[in-house]
Amino acid sequence: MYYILKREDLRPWLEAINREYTLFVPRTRDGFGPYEGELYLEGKTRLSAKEFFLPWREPLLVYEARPGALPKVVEGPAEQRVVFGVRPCDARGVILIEKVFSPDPFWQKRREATSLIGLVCEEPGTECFCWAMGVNPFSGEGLDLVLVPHEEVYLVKVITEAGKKLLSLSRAAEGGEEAFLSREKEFKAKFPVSPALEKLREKDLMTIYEAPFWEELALPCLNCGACTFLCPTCYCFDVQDEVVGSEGVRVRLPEACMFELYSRHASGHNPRRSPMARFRNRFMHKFKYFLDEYGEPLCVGCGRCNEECPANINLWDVVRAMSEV
Amino acid sequence: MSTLTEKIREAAQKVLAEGLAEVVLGYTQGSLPYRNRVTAVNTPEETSRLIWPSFGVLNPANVLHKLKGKKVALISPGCVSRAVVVLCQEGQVKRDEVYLLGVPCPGMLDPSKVRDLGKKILRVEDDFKEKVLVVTSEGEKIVAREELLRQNCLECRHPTPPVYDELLEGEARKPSPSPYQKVEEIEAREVSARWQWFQEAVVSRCIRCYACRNACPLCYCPTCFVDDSRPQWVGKTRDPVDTALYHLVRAYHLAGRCVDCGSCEAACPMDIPLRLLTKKLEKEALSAFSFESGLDPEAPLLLTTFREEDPEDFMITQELKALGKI
Ligand code: SF4
Ligand code: SF4
Ligand code: SF4
Ligand code: SF4
Ligand code: SF4
Repeated sequence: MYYILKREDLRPWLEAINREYTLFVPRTRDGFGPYEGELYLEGKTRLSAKEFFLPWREPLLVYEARPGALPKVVEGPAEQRVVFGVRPCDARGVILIEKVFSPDPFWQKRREATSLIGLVCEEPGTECFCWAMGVNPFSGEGLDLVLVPHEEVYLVKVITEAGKKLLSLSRAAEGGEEAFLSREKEFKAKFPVSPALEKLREKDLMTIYEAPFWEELALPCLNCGACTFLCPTCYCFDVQDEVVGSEGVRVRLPEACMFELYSRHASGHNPRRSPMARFRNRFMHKFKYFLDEYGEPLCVGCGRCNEECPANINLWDVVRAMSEV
Repeated sequence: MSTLTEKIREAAQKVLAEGLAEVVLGYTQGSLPYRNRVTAVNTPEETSRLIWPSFGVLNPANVLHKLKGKKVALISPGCVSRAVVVLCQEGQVKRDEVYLLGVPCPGMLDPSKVRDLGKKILRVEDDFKEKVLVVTSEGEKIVAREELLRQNCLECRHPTPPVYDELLEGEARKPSPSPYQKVEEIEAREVSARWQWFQEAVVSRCIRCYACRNACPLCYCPTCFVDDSRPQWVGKTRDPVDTALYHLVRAYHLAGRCVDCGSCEAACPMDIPLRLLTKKLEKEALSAFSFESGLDPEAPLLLTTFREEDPEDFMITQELKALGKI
């Protein structure tokens, strides 16, 4: 179902949502936060919306730090939340991570408690390439509602019942289907899927793994966590025990395969000791292991890694090399 | 008159052809108009890829450890030369294993300042003297170079490398007359306001990605204290206490060593002004011990030497005394 929302009706709608639910919005270029009036809609945020599902610190268990004490599982957060302004690439990221995380009770709880309102970009940013990774920003995948800025209005597509309920809090009027579909058609014609993906599917895994280009491409890489932490599809985590006095909490937090510690065994042995091996893993996971396992690359083309990588590692240099080896 | 890029290519070619080094570490064009990439060049033919960068903000000396065993020539503005000097002093690199191709540095531009000039940045043309032409999706802008320079370049005291094997011809920036202005702005605040600045500008925004640590040519410990697990010194989440501890310890580990190349700050994906912490310590080293790092490979290190005239006051008591509070 399609609706039209006037641009000046956006704020009142957000206020209305905020009265009934806890509303999060992109507040600054840094990222999302509780709605308090600030609204950043000029482009995507540095930190993606994945933090609503894989937070920076997720308590899993609490325990008394003494021998024999039994741990207690933490009840995940159940508060109903609405997140407005989620870019379609980020929403698609949630769908990709879910392929791996769906059995996780903490993930499930957060998914059930969260509604996502998507916002299609006015035009692609400098580093965007969602289409190349097979994302259709107009599909509404992973979202409850999707908004397309169009002339003086937003064209709205309702995806779920929850989305319909949220939209009923606004002054949106039915209509706009034709404009929405023609915008979608226009986009698809202009921005095709990358042919590299097909090539990567067909390539032998070991041929890519053992290719000679890795060393040169990895040279400037710092093996930091910037690309993985900003990436809306990277889902690796660490589990830590935090003990203060006699109280312990076991927490889950993001971790990056670029870090030496990520693959270091308790024995001290590290199968990915070299910086190049860690660099290679990031791209092999995204564009071969995950692709072979789930049929899709673990990338939604948000371009954050390309934009923010301090060493100017460009994903396409690597993908091209991988698909052409 | 040839450009710096031409001079670098010519010098690099000569270095490789004459066997003065096996590899030249420099910069090539990046994938965005406001990024350059650290690149190792192995043959005279490849030297045509090298450029003098506007955005050479990552210190290439941090890659040296990956090229162990090879003699490496580095395209060296002041701060790169100084980082190598500290590495020599600390026994990480032997002076005769590196060839410093010195460049009198006109300063590097700040990618974030350029990025903020428009929605899409299409092209950047830098005259390396006065002006920068930035072509954006909304039109062209001509901006004074000074306005786009990185903060550490604006505050740089040694744009001309103090140590080199060969110095290219060119005109360096003038050493900054006010290197500690930003530090002093924060020093002038009340204690609680300084703490608030640290919490808001640094701690709360940091995502613990360690790009700053890994970008630093002088952060070379095989196991950083944050990665130690037996014992574990610091928690790993974004808890403010743990994040603050990371930043304080990192800064202190660079006291008397940091050469203010700005690599850490440039690497930060969150644009956190974390360089101010090390700059503050640089100021302390200068005011208390008249010490500047990275000027002479033979000189002793600040933290491993003692002179009778060294002040024994700790920073805080010294300040309180000056204020007549103790
Ligand atoms: S690719 Fe870039 S962002 Fe990622 S680890 Fe390497 S330097 Fe850091
Ligand atoms: S790999 Fe890069 S472009 Fe792809 S989803 Fe992650 S951050 Fe975005
Ligand atoms: S293995 Fe690396 S690339 Fe893959 S999800 Fe984990 S952190 Fe991201
Ligand atoms: S800090 Fe000094 S030497 Fe280094 S790039 Fe800036 S101006 Fe040049
Ligand atoms: S680079 Fe920035 S975000 Fe990353 S750890 Fe350093 S200060 Fe924090």
